[in-house]
Amino acid sequence: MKSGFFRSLWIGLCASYILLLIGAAVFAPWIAPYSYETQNREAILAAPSPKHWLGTDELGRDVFSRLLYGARVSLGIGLGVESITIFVALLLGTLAGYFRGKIDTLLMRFTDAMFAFPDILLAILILGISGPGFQGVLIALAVVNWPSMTRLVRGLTLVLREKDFVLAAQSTGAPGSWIARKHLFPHLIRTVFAVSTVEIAGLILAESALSFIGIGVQPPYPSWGSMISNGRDFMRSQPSLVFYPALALSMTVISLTFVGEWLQDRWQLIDRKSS
Amino acid sequence: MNNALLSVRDLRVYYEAQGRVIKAVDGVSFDLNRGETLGLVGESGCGKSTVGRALASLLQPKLGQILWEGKESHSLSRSESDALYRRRQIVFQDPYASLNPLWRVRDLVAEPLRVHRLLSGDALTQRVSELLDLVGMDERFAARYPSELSGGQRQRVAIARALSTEPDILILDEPTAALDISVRAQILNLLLELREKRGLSILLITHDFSVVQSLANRIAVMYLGKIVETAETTMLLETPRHPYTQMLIRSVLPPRPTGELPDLPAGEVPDLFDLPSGCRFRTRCPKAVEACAASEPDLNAWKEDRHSAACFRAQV
Repeated sequence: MKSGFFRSLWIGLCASYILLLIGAAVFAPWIAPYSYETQNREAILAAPSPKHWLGTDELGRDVFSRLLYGARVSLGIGLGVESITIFVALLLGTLAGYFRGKIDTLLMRFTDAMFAFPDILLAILILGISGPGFQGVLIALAVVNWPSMTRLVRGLTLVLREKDFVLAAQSTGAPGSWIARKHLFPHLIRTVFAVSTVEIAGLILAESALSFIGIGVQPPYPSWGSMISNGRDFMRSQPSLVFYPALALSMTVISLTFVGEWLQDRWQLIDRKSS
Repeated sequence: MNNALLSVRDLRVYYEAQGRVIKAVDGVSFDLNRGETLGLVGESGCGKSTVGRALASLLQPKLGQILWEGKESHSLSRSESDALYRRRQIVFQDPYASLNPLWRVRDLVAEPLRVHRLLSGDALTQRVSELLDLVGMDERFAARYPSELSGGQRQRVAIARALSTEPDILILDEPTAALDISVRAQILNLLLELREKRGLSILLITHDFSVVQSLANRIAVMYLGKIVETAETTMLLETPRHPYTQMLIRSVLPPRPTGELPDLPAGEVPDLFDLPSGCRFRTRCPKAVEACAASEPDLNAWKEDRHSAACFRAQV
């Protein structure tokens, strides 16, 4: 990536877009001109106009409003699944990495087994059991997502526990809880946070994929994935039905990825200096 | 044992690697008397740092005893072992690694006090600036991060931190090895000064004879997990008896080079998995005879008042 000014500018743009998106998702009911299910029978498949900024879909629903509500799904899944992942990873990863022994062996074998399944197939399987919908997607993606982060935290803990500053604290009589709170977590949190940002991008894509094939968030509630899926039938006459949700999705994924990688660079630099 | 502050008896620390056992420390015994500085010297890999870590309770010895004023460390009650943690502090080799990079200097120095809940609030702040002053650092460094300090400054912080609980035993693990030569003298002077002021007893672990020479009263030389020679500093440096000690001392390059390098016996440190029979040094020893391969000499093999060497041929 370009260095200096242009990189800062680019990261700034990406970060602003993410903040804007979060704002849009939170305040969707207040800023959206229409509800996600309001049909305007006079304007079916309408082109963009002052009344419908991004046009309407085949049922006369406002695309812009549906995009805003769709952001709630994307970010809700992304943040929700990632929160569960971080919680599990910090708990199991530090326990396994710090105490080793049986928990560690068990964790490693179990996650190995999890890695043997392709993520999206496993998610589809779980959704088949739990049934589609927001909650189902949340559970399914959390189940496929936790192993890699947990392994990462375990690995970092293994490295950290051998660091001299941890030994120095131990040699002065600090108990395990002190080491975990004061030395391990502050280091882990930084990496976990940076990696999460990139992972959220993947989760948003996965949610879109599940909704695209119809087992994600159920209509009439919009998800970017289901909007793209529905829009396919009108690719010739109204390509904007696919274009706008796809644009929102790619911009979100790209922004999250760049910001996440920037955070990793920045924070690992501090760690590298110290070792 | 009598007035020894710390006694180590037949300490053994074994590591397991790929199913094989490395005897990193293989039967080490020594005493550290009150007010004394004992230098533990040897090549890298001889187990000297492992001894330090065992003394700092960072690893579990396989066998042997560590006695603090005659009491075994793992038989101490909770409050006694807390007291021991406060009385015995360690300074690590590399101040770039031993200070948490995310912490400010004041928190680094205060950590042992916070762990033991000794001070808080203003009294803690006050104590931290006293400690910084003690190691010759200005109060304004308190708000800095380690990355904003030089190596020497970092080591001062590590020393201030170690002194925070008013210990009487300090374990220094290569305290100057990671520092520039010009900074070494400053840190050594600081340690000398602190030892006088605080009446510290010090275990000094190093590979550097110039460091032991300036600090230690007594020296124990380690080779492959065992102590091979021990004596008062001047005696050991002037009349080393063990061929290994002789080799180590000869290998120190003089500050004013004559253009010639010392003539040292060739030979590699033997494989730790496959130690030679008898004396562990015999494969590199210029004086080795057949008897050296037959049995292993202990520290009583050669003895003259307070000087002993684990060598059958020390007389020769």
